Amino acid sequence: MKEPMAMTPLFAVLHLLEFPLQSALRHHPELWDQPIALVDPTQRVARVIAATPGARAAGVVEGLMTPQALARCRELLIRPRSVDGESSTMEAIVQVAFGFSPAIEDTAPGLLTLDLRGLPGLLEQSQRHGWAERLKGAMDALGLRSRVGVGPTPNVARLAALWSEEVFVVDDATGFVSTLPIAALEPTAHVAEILGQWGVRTVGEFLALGRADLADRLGLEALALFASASTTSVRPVRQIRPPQRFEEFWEFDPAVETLEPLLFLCRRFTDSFAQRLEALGLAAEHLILRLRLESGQDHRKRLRLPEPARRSEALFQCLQTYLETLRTEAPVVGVDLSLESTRSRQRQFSLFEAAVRDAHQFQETLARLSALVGGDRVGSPVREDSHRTDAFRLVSPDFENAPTVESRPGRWLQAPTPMRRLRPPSPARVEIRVLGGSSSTSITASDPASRLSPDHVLALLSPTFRKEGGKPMTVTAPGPPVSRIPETGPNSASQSPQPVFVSSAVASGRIRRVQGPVRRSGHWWEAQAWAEEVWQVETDRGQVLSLVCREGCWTVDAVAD
Amino acid sequence: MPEASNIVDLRKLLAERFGASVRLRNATTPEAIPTGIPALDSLLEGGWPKSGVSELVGQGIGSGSVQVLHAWIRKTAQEGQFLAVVDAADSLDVDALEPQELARILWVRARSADEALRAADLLLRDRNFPRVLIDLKPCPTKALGRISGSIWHRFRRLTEHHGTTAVVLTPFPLVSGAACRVQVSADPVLDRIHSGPESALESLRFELVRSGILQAGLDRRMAG
Repeated sequence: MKEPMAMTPLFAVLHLLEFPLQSALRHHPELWDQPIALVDPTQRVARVIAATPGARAAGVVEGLMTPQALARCRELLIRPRSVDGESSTMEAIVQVAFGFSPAIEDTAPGLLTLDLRGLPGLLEQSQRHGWAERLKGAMDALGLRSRVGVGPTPNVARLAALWSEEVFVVDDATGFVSTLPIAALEPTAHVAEILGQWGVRTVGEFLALGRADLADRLGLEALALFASASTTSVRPVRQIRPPQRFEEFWEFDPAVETLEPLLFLCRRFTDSFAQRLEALGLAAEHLILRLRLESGQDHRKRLRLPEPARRSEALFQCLQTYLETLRTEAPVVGVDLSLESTRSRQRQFSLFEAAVRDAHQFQETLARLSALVGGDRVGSPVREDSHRTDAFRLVSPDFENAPTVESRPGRWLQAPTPMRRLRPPSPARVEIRVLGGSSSTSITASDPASRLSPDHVLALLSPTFRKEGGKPMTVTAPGPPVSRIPETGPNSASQSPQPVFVSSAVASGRIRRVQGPVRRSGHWWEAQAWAEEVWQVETDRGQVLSLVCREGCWTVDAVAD
Repeated sequence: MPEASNIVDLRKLLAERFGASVRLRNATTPEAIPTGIPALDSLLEGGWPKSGVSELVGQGIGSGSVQVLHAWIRKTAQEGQFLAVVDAADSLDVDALEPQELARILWVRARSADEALRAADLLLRDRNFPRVLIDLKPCPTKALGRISGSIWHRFRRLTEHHGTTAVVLTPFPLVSGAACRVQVSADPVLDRIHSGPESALESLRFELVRSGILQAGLDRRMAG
């Protein structure tokens, strides 16, 4: 069933008392309990333009010069007015108010007029009151003290917001306006004095004097005052579009050196962002953090959310995880946080495919794991496009777009048998038997003097090996026969010399069976040229090892486990 | 025929008259996650117990624990799931897995048992990972001996709470209160290694040392 809409003229005015002061203290509402005075730094003589109740209680009022104010209240804190901050606050208010009415007018700083015509669910007085309460609650959540007035004209709504309770819905406009004090019409001091002398105290008494008679005695101003007291004239609302800019900032005084105040403020920022994004139906895609340091430098970081989000917790977690691992060179004097918004996405997961339940939590865990073990040690492995053994890199996991795996029979036949990799490889001493000869040669990888060039190794492994270049090599007596598993691969070298004994920290013993070698090389055209020879051997103790010879050095790269 | 006054009596009556052919739903073993090795699945009545910490003990080098680890990774990838591998000694053999399988694992390359356990704690608290594998086997015995029993208790509670299947590879029985403990052994003959992973898996021998979940299921059946 279609909800009934309010078709009669209905307006609301949102008024933020002492807007510059509220804007300055928005993110720290506890400061309202302290004596604080706001001054305008752009003026030649700094005078108080607003003060908290604590400061007023001590005699600090608008117009006092800073020394005078300090003389009246020794504990007074002087805060500069921030026009940028007020602009940012006004943007936040407009964005949140847009969630209550699409027709908004930025009437004055701290004053918004909302056209409620056509909105559903505002026929009854109680419904209007509930709506106004919700709007005030939204402002409270932004950390702003506001008053909401609802009336049949923008003027009546404004008077209700300015001159009544925190939330006031005008039912009888004429009666309401009549009871207001004459000051509600904002007469000039001269006219106010005349009216005072006449004994006119309320708007009702003023209106009772008659428009023509008042115009004769007070001139044009009387007509303007009559217009201000009108309960029927409806002026057009100059509608604005809510800005899609989300920025919050704060200056620390004094500078902060610990994480807690920063996180506290970030939480307030993300709460505000969440509320504004919700009102506009948007989601955050990136967070841009800027920390202003006491040294004059800036620390900037652009944080990408795992998926567009508008929940305050998700935004805050992203910031918290980053800030917990951050060390700045100097104390932080200011923080700016902005976000880039996007339309929120909806998606449907495949029926049988698993997906990450909570992408934000997942990203959070990844960040914590990176902080624990290092960013280069967490991720999904991707094999490099290389024939080199154990060549891989880690990438950020993307399980949702991971390719599916075929479950065809015999798929494993092509895969090598997994072994336990040793990173870094364990240096080994390996004795090699040269085929066709009656001797074997020992090369110790741990001895730097035994490092040989690739050419030397090839010469060493060749049947026509001869000791050359004065390299330290040990010739030992031949051992028992070693069986060789025939090679079928294209890189096999079945006629090569073969290891007969291995000694390393991982495993040692006489080699009874060998498979290999598999010779691989790459990047020979570059400075990073590499060549390796891989043997799989079985020792007389039953251990299966992967022996690799690189640049003449033997290592145990993997063990069967 | 005697009458059953309540549901307990009815269960007893059914059990007496029809025996094993009547299996009550609540007396079945908990949901199991296939290991990728038929022999081991058969031993565990379906696979690793879900929502619990299982232990795979492989004593000495060449016990076959790496084969079990890779088989589970392959099976997980085939099922379209993903797996977190906490590698205490950074020893995963990347060359032995296909790119599609690698894309479905989150590999944490820890440097010590302590680091691995802290990483595992983070992963078990994150409800995104249904399967977590913790490979502590290459860690020094001294480091493993320093692991407090309360850690396993905490892991057990986390897996129960989040429905996670966690498997810990150890060189000796270590995990107190494990849902099940399987000992694996093999003869790492070069011929089998050379023949490929299927041949290597065939040579594995499994022994179910402890089965807390199965025992619990048996107890319930007896009580029912």
